[in-house]
Amino acid sequence: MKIPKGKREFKWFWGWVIGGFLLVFLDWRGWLRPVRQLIEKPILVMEEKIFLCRWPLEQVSLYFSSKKKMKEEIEKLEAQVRNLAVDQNKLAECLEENKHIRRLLGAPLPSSWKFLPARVVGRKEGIIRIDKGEKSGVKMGMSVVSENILIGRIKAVEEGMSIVYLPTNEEEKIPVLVRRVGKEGFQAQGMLVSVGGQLVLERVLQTEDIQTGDLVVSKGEEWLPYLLIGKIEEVLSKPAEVYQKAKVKPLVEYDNLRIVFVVISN
Amino acid sequence: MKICLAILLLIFLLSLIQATFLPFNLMVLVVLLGNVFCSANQGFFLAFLGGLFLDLATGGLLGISSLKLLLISLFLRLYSRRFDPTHPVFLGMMGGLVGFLWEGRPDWKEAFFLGVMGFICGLLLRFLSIPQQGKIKI
Repeated sequence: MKIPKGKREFKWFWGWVIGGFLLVFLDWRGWLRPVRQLIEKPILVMEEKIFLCRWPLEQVSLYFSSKKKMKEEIEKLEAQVRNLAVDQNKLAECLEENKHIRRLLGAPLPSSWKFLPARVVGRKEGIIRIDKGEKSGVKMGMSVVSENILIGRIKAVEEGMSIVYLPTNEEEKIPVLVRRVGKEGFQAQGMLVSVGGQLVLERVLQTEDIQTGDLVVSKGEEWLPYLLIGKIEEVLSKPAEVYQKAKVKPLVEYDNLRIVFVVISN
Repeated sequence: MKICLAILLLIFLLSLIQATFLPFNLMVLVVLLGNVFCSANQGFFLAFLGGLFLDLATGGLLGISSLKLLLISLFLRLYSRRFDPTHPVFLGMMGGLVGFLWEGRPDWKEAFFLGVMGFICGLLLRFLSIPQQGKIKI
């Protein structure tokens, strides 16, 4: 009797399925391992060869498929580099500010004074502009220091910016005291003015003893007292005159100022 | 005989390529199309052998892929009793479904690729008017 076609098909199907299950069982038990090892050796050799051949094909397909992706990746990385450069710049600024603040903390200034750090954003002859203004509590006449060195005085205030007159500004006249290094008290007093950008100590009595190397500090009155300004560079004494003069060199390079502190409360 | 050897060589090479760098399971498509063109016995034999080669090449448990491919072949056989298995939509859906479930976890990428390939093969069969199952003997 002829088996119907459909049933014959199923007969074959079940035959192969049983064969499949048998294989699974035998392999799972490990009984086919020797046979597998024998067959797998040449297969692995062939696979290795095929794997090596795929590399040039992959490179070509990778080139075309990832060209756009690589371009996007490059743009993304460039943006990241720019952001990192900005962050690095901010970090450098913070580190510098930190350094100045530490110096200020180490300076022998009254503890009651309160300081506002500010960045120098502009510079002209005898003037600097700082990035703090009325918004930050800065007022006209406030002193500006760096460590315990007098930098100048606030002369104009705007919303977010202020103008500081340096001692080298010809409009400024600072009453000062002269102190000798290593000695107590003050040797002399006078007026510090600017002549052609050069600091000159004037109105020092001939009877008062001033020498090269003496420190010039603020006297007080309209200015904060006992803040260092400069050092006597050269004494210009003429015995016939009532007063003697001296050239004063600032203790800080005003051109190199980056961060200063406004004394907002004293 | 020659065609038989050629097909055996083809599935053997395909299994090696699939094990080395081919990211998609083309063996499924070969078995699907094989079952479309060949008789039942030949189709099941192709499925069994294809699965066996695949397991040998990938180092998997022998017989697992064969069983999966046999199941696919059976489904195709049953379907073809009433419907046309060469329809591009059917082949596309079949390829997509098998690709989705082959690994035992959903794989959309594989499903999409096999679905598209199945659909294209179906279109080609229609376009080239290739004779259907049973008409080609190996």
